[in-house]
Amino acid sequence: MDTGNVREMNPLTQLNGLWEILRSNKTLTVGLFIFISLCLITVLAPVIAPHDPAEQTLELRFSPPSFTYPLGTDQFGRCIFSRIVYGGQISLAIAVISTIACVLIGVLVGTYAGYYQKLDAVLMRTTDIFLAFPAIVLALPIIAIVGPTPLGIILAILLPGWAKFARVIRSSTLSVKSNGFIEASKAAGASDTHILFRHILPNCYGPIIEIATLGLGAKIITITSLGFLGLGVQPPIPEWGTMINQGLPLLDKTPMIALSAGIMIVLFVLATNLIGSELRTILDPRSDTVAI
Amino acid sequence: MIEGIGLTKNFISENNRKKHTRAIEDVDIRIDKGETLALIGESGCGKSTLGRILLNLIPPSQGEVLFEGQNLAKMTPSELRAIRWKFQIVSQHPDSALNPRWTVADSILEPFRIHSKMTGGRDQKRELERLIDLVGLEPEQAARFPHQLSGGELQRAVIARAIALDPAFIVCDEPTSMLDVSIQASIIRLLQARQKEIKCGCLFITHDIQLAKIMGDRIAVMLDGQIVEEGAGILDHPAHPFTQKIVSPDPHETVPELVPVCNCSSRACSYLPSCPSRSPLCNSYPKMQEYGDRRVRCHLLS
Repeated sequence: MDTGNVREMNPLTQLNGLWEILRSNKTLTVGLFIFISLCLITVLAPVIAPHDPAEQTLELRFSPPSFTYPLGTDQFGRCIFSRIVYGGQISLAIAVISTIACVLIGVLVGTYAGYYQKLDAVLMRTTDIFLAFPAIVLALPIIAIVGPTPLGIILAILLPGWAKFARVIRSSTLSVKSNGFIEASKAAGASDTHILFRHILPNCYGPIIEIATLGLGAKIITITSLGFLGLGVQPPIPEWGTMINQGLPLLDKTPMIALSAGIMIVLFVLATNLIGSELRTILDPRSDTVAI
Repeated sequence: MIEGIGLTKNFISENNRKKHTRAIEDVDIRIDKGETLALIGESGCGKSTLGRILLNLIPPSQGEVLFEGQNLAKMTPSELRAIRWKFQIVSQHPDSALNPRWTVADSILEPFRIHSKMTGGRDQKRELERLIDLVGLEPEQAARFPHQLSGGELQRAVIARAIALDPAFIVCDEPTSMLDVSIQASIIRLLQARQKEIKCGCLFITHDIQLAKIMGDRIAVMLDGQIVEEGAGILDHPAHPFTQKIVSPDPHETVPELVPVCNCSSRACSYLPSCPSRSPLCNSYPKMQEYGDRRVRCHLLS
């Protein structure tokens, strides 16, 4: 291998290498393109949507796709396209925020449990308690207390969700901890914070990204199942998961409701997984040799 | 300079808290400035545990470690961290001794970053050039990641990190055992040269008798958690039966099966079960005693 290129091959050392990466890495480009498009569509919903998502025109129920209603209308005569565009706001925001929160809590609990042997038993037994309940059982009282608001839904996803992250991150921490460089760093006088955040956490990026990207899709499904119980996003507000749920019995009349919402979720999950797997490869210096 | 007195370490089994494993027992050890003590023994006899206790990476169950007269166990964690730069370790596995996500240069410079208060004025770039030159690495190699280097090159980088702050005491835990035979000699020469230069004390852990003779100013033989013989020329003129056995030309020579002299108690000499010259006296625990230039833990000599 050409020795002169080594520095440039690590994207973290040179930020202007970003364009190079995008040009050579088609998978990442496609993933980012879908992700950014979805985000733009939802953010610019008021501009893009031709109708108010809650506006009902009962005489136009189940109308087929037309120029005024690009994807037709649903059982209440609402514009499906507008509902899809607005629906992303809730779905994407809740999925992204709750995943980030799960990762943060999981990283904190997982690394501390893995690193400090004394904390391990306490933290992991607490985690086990959360893992022992079916997610929905923990979600019910949260929604009952906070109400079916976005905040309530995020909390209802977060409470049973972080435990899995903590488990995975703990086990990676344990395996990284046994390496010689941790001991050498400790022998040289490094503080625990230095070891945790400079040595252990960067070596856990792989599994963290893996479970986070897989989790993003699962979060949308969780929102759906909450909606199925009437605990999710409440009816007039559009949301992808709820739309699939409501659209399923109407598949023969207007397949567009469930289909379009389903395609949006698939696209979102696909994009995050593409980005996630490529990010993992890029962040791992060991993959350099394959890149060229 | 660094001294361990009456060091004992018990490991408690994770599954059964009542089950203790005695890794090392009643070890007295002393390493002076600029001196190398070669520690040899079979695998699992507690050599690495002793090294880690001296570095204060694990606390001893009993006994104390004195560094320049100070008891390390009595220092606060932050005080201890502040003098940590004086201790370094070169471990057995060079491929896990460097963070795979850092460049080799970052790893070599890590001690400077940890002790930035002390070394704040130094130019890290110049220090890096000095260190990689000392250990014989190329600048391009330092810019790479650990997986792109060979075992010997990695061990050079590990040595560069270990000598970065001119430490007072280095533990070399079988630094060449994982390396290719062709590279071992150059790494050993490198270690010797750098150690002479910075005049640090060194605990050289190995199971290679020839290597121990080359490296050690003094040699200590460890058996089952205890140092049984220690002194300058003990491998040429062994006194303890165990030392005699390990330096014997035929390593496969089996010790004749002997009828036990009596019921072996746990307080008996640890070499009793396989000692060819045992006597009823050996059922009691022998003390470490000085005989001229060496210290031996054996009833035969007294």
